[in-house]
Amino acid sequence: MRPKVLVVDDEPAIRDTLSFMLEMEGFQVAVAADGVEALARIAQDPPEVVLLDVMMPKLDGYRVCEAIKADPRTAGVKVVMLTAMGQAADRARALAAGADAYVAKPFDEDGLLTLLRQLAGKPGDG
Amino acid sequence: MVQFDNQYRQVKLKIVYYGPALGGKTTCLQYIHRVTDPQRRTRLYTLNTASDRTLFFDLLGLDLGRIRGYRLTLQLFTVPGQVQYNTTRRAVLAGADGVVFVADSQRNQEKANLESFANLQENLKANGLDPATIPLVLQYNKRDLPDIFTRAEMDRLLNAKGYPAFETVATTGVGVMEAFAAITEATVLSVADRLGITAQADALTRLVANVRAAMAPLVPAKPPEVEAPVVIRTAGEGKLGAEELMAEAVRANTAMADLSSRLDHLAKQLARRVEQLKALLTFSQVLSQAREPDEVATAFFERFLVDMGVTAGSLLLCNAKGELVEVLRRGLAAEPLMRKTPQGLLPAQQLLEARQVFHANLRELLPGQTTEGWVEEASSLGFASALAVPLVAQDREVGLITAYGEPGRGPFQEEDLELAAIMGAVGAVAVANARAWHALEQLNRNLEAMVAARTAELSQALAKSEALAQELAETNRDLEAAYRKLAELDTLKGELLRRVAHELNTPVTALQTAGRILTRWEQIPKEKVASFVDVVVQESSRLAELIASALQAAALGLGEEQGPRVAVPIAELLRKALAPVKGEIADRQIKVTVKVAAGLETVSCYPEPLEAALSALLKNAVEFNKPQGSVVVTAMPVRKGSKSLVEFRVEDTGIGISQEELPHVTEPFYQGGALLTGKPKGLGLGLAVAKKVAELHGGELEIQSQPGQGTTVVLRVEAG
Repeated sequence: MRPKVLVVDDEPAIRDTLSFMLEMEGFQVAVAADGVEALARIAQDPPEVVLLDVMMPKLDGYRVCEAIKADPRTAGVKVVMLTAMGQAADRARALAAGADAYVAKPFDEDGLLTLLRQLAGKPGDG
Repeated sequence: MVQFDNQYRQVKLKIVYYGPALGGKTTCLQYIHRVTDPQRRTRLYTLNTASDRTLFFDLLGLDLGRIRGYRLTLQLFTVPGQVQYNTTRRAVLAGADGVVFVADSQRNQEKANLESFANLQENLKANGLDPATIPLVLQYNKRDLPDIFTRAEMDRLLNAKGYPAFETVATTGVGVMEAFAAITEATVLSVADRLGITAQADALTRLVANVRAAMAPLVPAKPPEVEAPVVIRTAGEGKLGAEELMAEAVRANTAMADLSSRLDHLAKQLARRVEQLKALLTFSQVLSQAREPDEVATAFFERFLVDMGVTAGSLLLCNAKGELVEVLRRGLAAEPLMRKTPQGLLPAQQLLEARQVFHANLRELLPGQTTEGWVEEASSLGFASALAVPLVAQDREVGLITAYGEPGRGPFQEEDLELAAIMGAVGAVAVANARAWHALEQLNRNLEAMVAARTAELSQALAKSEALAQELAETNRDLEAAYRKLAELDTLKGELLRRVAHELNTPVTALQTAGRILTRWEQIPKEKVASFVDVVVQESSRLAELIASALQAAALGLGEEQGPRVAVPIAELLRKALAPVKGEIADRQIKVTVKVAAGLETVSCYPEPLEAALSALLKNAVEFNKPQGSVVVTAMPVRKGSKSLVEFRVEDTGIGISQEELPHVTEPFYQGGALLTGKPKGLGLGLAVAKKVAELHGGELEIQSQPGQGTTVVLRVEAG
């Protein structure tokens, strides 16, 4: 089984490019455009990892992360916070919200892929 | 016999008027009594015997001087002249210091005179007195009557020894006082001789001069009124014939008369005491009414001179250094006590330090008394007596007061000295008190002034410190405000950075990922390649747009030269401004209406900045509008004061801006909405740029907004 990753971002350009890249790297990818949609998808079909943007309409990434970690059924889902704001405070806040990792945009794809494979518990084919 | 009276410290000199019956002795004594000052004598006493009388009185107040510190006083007696009263005569003659023999000048009285004169010799011897040495003066009386002996005949009759003799008329007083003066002088000299003072020639001379000076004023200008004598009744003489009994009776009567005389004297003293007390009362009242030290000193000094019965004196007071300074002086060219001795001593200071009332009868016989030349000095000024009272209050030396008596005043008596001492004590306290009060008042005034000054200073300082505190509080408020502003700015800066970072990083991330995908894998479906190329194009232009707007804002901020203004057709300007938001207008189905005032064809402006500003306003109007909302763009000429402007008005039906946000919306990078979930796209430079552009054109930017209903932004540019 290919590890399942949920990409949550309100920017279509990022969502599209990121999901395509992850699929090409052997992940099973689902997408969500905002926090509310993300929580719905996680409840429906929990992925191994959620790649979560911070700045989103309706519900921001921190709140989504907290919700995931607060629900025992989804608490095991790994969360990688992905933010374009790039401030030290944001990293601290992400970890406080229970995120497993924090990645600043723009990111290094190889680093991100390695991180995702570690978190998904599957080395994959690369 | 010299009678020393220790109680009164006086020496009584007994002078007996002797002579034949009805010879004029009594008349003489009455006359002397009458002409002497009532204050200086007792009343006239009479010892009544059967048919003759013995009269006597004391002359106490004559300023005859002193011997060994004892005041000289006189006691004058007459004896009964009748032959049968020899016992009385002898008794009266006992202890006589001087005798006046009053002879009757009538030729028919030759025998009576001789008998009486012989009887005198006899009785003197009987009393142990030496007729050869006892002072004796003869009066040839009744010189006004006819058939009298000549003076020479009288001398031959009675004056073989050459006694001083005076022709007198006792009834009118002729010669009486001269004879009295002569016997007084002779008696005083005799007493002085007996006491061994004769050896001191100058003392004796002074004594004689003193006696003469005292007696001189007694010779009256006119005879005074007759005073009725006090009669002391005695048992009749001669009935018993027992001489011893008679002598005893006379002695007893004399003693009684003497007691009576003393009582009289005491009564006078009491009266004087009462006068003194009254004077003291007045004195203390006067002093208590005076307040200022000068007033008190003057009142004291004047009363003192009056009560001492003198017109000359001075008041010396200690100054702050304790030195005596003359404060008041009267009747003197200079205070003798203030003249330094050859040893450099100040007599006044010495007298003050001795703290004893000092007085000097300048005619007294007191050998060896140290007066430091003071007495001599005062004497040379013509005074007969001097008095100096140290003024001491509460054991502190206050000063010295002096009084100088003229010869007519007589010497200072014990009562005078007592009064002087009391007045001095009262005056010293009054002066010291007045000075203390004065000093206290001065101190109070100074204190008040000091307190007032300090109060003024303090209130000034208080006002100053209040002002300072207020200033500080204001500064503090300013500082707090500045701090809050800084803190806000700090927060804002963090948020701004995150917004800007997000805004720039998002397209960069998309571009980067798309780029990697396109280079990483060769086997990508064509439609995917196209979509990623599209991402690259779109995100690139988005970045370019951001960079352009940032640069533009930066340029405006730096006040970059814009070149000349150009007249741009308004329709074209608005069309260009609307172009960038066309897509969004269509997406959100916004209805845009453009109204241009009739006749307004062009606007003189810097085309690119104005177009960008209007575009930003339109972008906001569309972006923050509700779906299917409307935007109305109006352009019209307006006047503001003397300024002619072109106004662009953009009205939307959007979410509006809250009152709190309104002042901040023109700040660069400011964006409405929550950072994490509501952030609009863009850098938040639109309104900041628009404001700059309006100012660049000499105009302004105005924003009115009603949250939930819409916002109206007015951009005015000066009509070039």
